[in-house]
Amino acid sequence: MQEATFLILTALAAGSQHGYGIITDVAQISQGRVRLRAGTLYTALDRLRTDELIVVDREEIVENRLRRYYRLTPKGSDLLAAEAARLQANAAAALSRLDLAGGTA
Amino acid sequence: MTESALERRYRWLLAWYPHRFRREQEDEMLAVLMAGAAKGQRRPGLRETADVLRSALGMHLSRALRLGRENRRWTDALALFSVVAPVFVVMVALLEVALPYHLPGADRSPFLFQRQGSVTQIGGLSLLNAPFFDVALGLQVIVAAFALLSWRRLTLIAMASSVGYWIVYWVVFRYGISQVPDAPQLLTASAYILGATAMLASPGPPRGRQLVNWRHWAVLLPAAGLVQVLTLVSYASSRFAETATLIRYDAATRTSTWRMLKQPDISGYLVIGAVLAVAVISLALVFKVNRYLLLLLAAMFYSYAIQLAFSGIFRPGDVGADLLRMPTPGHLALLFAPPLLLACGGILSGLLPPRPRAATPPGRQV
Repeated sequence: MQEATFLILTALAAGSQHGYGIITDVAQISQGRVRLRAGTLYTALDRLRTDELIVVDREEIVENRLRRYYRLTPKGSDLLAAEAARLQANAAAALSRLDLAGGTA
Repeated sequence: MTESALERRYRWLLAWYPHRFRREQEDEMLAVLMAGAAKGQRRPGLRETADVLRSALGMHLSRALRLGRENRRWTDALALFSVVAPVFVVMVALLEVALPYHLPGADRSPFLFQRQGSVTQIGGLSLLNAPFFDVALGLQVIVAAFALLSWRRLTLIAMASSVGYWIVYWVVFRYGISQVPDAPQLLTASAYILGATAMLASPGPPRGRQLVNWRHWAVLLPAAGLVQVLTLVSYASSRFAETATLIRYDAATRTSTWRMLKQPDISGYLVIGAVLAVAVISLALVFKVNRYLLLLLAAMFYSYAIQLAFSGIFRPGDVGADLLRMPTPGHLALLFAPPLLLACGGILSGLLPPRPRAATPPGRQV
């Protein structure tokens, strides 16, 4: 899974969000490292909707502008959980080996 | 509310997205773009513009490929093509052997090749004695047989061998006199490029064998005849024919005599060609041949038609007269770009994993 996709799914894990909310949340989650642009975001959202990992939750009109909120589907939650577990296992393995290397050096 | 200059420019950028996407999400994406704009910003930034255009292009491409993958008629056309193209190549070659290029009005065919004291005519049974032709024809027959037997992998290997042989022949003997006109060779090359693609991007010959029937062959047989007639007419009416000379080689004195041939009368062949063309089109329409199959067949004929057209327009020796004799990248692009692009599209659509359809968004339901 690409990092941008992982971060978008993570942004939606806590609840539904609209497009600009996802952009700001992803920037926050990644501590400013990943700054999604609108084109990249909507390409990813289009793909995630097609794969049934997210769905449209609701729509609002705010200041004459359309806001569409997205939320994770159960399938999207499962995929995110699996990916998070995989990354966690990899990170734990790396850290454990680094500790080991540090200890024997 | 009047649109700001920035909003208008964003809308212009969003117009590059597929129509369906725009209908559903243009307003929403515009809101996101406007929310991310700096205060007083009047035009989209360079990176932002590039990002939107890249996204729009990617969406067009992925939708087209997805449609191709999910379109049963398209995959069926590819499967059909994987069977009929190799057989069609053999049909053309066999007609080439069966029907020598004899031009009425000329005392002999202008296409004569003198080799080791004997005169070999282009076309006709003598082709079987021509160096390389027998091997090339043999490989074509093997490819067609494997395709008809639904042996996909072996067909691909045989196709690769045939193309490899053709390339070696061309590279090694490119300056020699080719006994087979170049245009049909291009037809074979295009047929194999697209045929291999069709095998990779579809269920291939097993499905093609289920679908193919006598109607397809009824369309392709006159098409093969049309190839022969067109090749003959094109060469006979080209400037090459006007300057063609008959080579008579006297083995005893080791001297050649050259003389002008009178311009052959090709009007009869033109009538036959027109009848065959009408027959091909009519049969394709009456039998309602899969239109995607017709598209693939048209792509197969593309480089052949270009070669014929150029050999008719340019003088012998001109850079455009024979696009294969001294090919530049531009020549090769002209000859093969459209079939190769179609081949790439076919392969990509085959590699793209099938995806379930998106759920209908619940928004704006009354």
